[in-house]
Amino acid sequence: MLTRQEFRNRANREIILLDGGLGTLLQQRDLAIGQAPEELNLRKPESVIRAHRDFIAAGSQVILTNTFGGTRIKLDEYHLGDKARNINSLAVELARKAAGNADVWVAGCIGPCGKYLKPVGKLDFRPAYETFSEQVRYLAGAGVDLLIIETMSDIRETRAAMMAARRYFNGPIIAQMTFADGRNTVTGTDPLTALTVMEALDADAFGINCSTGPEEIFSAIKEVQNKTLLPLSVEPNAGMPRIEEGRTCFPASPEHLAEYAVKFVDAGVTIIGACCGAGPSHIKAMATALKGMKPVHRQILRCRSRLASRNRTIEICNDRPIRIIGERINPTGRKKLRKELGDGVFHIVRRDAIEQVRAGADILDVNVGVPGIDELEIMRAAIQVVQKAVGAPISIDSTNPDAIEIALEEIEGKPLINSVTADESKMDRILALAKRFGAAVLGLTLDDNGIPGSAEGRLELARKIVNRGMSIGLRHEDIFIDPLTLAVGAEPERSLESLKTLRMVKEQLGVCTVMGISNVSYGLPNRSLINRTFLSMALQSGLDLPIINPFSETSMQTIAAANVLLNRDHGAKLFIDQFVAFTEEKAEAAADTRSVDEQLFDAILYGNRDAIVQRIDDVLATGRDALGVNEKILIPALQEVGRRYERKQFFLPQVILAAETMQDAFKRLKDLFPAAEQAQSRGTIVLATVKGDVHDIGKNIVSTILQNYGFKVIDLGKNVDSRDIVKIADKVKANFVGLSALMTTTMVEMGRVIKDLGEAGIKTKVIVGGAVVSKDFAADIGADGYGKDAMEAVRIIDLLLDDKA
Amino acid sequence: MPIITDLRAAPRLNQVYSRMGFKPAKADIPESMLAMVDEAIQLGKALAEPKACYQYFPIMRTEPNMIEIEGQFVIQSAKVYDWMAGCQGLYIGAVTLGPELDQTVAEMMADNYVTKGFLVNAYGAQAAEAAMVELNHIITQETETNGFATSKRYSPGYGDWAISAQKDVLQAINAAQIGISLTDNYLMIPEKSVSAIIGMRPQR
Repeated sequence: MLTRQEFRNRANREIILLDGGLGTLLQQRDLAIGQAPEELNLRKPESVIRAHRDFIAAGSQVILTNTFGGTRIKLDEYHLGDKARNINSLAVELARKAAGNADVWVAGCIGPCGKYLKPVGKLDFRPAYETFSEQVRYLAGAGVDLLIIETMSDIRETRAAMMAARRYFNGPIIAQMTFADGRNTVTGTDPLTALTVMEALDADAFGINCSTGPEEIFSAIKEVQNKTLLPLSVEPNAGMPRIEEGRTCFPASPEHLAEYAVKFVDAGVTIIGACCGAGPSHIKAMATALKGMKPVHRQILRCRSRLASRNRTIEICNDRPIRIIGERINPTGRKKLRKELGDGVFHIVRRDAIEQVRAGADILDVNVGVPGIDELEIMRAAIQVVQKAVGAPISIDSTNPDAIEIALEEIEGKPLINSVTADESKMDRILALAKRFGAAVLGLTLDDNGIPGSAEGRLELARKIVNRGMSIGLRHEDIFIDPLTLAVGAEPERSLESLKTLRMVKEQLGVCTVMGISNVSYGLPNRSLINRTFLSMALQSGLDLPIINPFSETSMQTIAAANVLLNRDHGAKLFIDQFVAFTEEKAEAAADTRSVDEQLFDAILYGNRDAIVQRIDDVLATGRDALGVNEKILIPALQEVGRRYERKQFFLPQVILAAETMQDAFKRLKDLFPAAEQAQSRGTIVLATVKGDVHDIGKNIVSTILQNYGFKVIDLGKNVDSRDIVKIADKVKANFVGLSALMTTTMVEMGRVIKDLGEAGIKTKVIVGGAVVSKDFAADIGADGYGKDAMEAVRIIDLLLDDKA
Repeated sequence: MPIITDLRAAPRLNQVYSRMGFKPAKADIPESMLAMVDEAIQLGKALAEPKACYQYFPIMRTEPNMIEIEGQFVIQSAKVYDWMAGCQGLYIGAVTLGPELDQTVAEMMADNYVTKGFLVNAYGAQAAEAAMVELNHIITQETETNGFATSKRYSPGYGDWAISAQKDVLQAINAAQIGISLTDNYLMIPEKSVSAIIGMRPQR
């Protein structure tokens, strides 16, 4: 039996010639339209044998069984699913028969099952895994020498096939995907990501086949040629198929493919065959061209490790910028997130995913540990949500092996499992999951006795995890270690031990290191100062992957600086790009000739919420009183916003943003007002979207804007019963009631509220608005005013107030 | 009855900008708001999960102000009658972006991020329209493959077709299966949902 080692040795020392497109050859010769090529194994075995023999005669050293579409799911398309066992077993027999005594390997061929996995398609992971498992068992049982998984375009399906192959076959496996344009598969995976995922799943060779022809494959192979120690394989099509006189034709001549075969060898490929449209004549030309050629030496650029999503690979290298794990998707200490997860709602998760990546996170930690929830299903859904929202690889953060396994099934790339400890009760199971699903795993230096006090003790646990992982076949580069930090306020000597452990792990074990930073400052004031100081100490001590809050500007700046100082940002290019803009902004601010009053005015005018509190403090520092600031700067700024809107120089969103900014400003000032002024208000307005209507966007905008014109606004929300409006209006002695409705079916309810207010004898003015409401309608139902938008509402109220005066 | 769970909803950016209250060209968006607008669009895209369902129904009988649909209901509307002239059947379809976008907008508003909520909501409204345009396109292709043509689409609440017809329309295609429900006042939940009928007539 061919061992994996023998295969790899030969693939590294010789050029191995595969066969051509078996399916297209059978199609040209013997296949009826609408018939599955695999059916010939049953109906015309002699034609399959003949095709194999023709390839062997042409020079093929490996022939692929006629089982490309041999999964049950694929065969079901031809109502052949029940014959899956026969079709696959027979295919191996036919190939063996064709090979006879020749020195030829028989490779079991596995192609796509014809259905994409979620979210690209509708198939779940498990049925896909099962259908490939079944096919692998038949092929392995019939005695193939190796397996070739090929023409895959969905990375999750490739994962399922590769996992099934490893599970049920002990020999060599070649994993190949097809890249439509040489850059990505049709579902968005690039060659490096495909390599990263297949390597982690323990493929014996990685390759590219089919595609549109040799040119595209050549550009795809260039992307990976110096990224792996695995042998590389290619099987190009004989060009892009064309229909000529009702027949499918492949334009590339045998000479063309032969010419490319030589180029592939020069690029470091050692396993070469051809795909659709390439017959024995193509193989013969390739065999002639490759005769006497030896593999070239590839210069491999090693990185410490890689993680991947469906469409992005993150390389962790000593000489590249530090990669960051974003820690925000974790319900610990986050009440709102905890509630959402409990309710099975994910919009904070989604928003955190998007915003952390925008803030610079490379990898996202996902933790859904809330007591009392179904962690398995919530974990599954959270992984789906994050993968859909962003392209960052995931760190699966759980201590529950079942939840980790569910997450691993959903994963589209190569994740990090966070975490395993040296605790015997769970260690083997989690390490085995990492191995089976092709994940990297993060080992924590603790066991059932807790965290050792000394660095030496922690190093021993780290060593135990690394050794155990490698003994079950995990690659050294896929085991990461976290030396753990504790609150320095509670145990002052321990943070030093963490740093010492980092150095020792790095020096003695040479694995990737990961560490959460923010724990260290727990219980102390000015946590961010402690955090960023500890962060820079840890980076100096050999930390590869800090787990931090990417929204912390100081941490992100520390990392940017550390990249320069640790020579990870060559020529400080990234740093300069980031901070020249920053310095220019500062310089601009310094050169700002506007007075602090003008700056505050502009901050309201242009809705600069980030700066508004600072601008107010700047003005207050000049000795101005709060009331004056409000009357002389804020209110005029807001009036200018209104003027510009009316002149159509401003758009509605600018008005809303200015109003929001004004609210922030007002919040800052209010407490500084003299007591008499604090109580002063131009009147009370009760707002509601009427019963039956749930569209309240417009009402919310009116509410925001009115609050800035000195009114006390009581917003009752949407779908509000008339009785509640009457009750509140009475209670607060409302000067105005504002009603909104979007629909013709609900606007009539406004008339009812007006009637009810009248009957209750409440003296208040009512203004109405909403998409379908008109001035006439407002008059009909007895409203005092109608505003077609928020700005008009303000004006109407002003007018009505003047009336009263 | 066909359900599409991976519907494309790609609104044209100039329409999104208009819906947000700006002029259609990106160049017209004030610089102080560009980042927020881009962010709102990105968030809206991630939040939307466009789905559709639709089905074909033969027309049984017509009179100048009504159309009877096989096994379903009667459309009382002179406008729809005119619109569907020459049609032998019609498609009923509905699209939705799902609840996540609505919920996020509501939450942003509650957190006093009214502008951001407003912008995401505007993106959603336009994306729901785009989802319906896409469904219309799918239906048109399907009919053209079979040698027929489609009319323009029409929705309950337009012209003289009462909004209360929404109930029959959604029931006929069991829009609940893609998560659309109706309030007593005929508002669709999720808000970012659109329903319509599209007539089918022989190609001229």
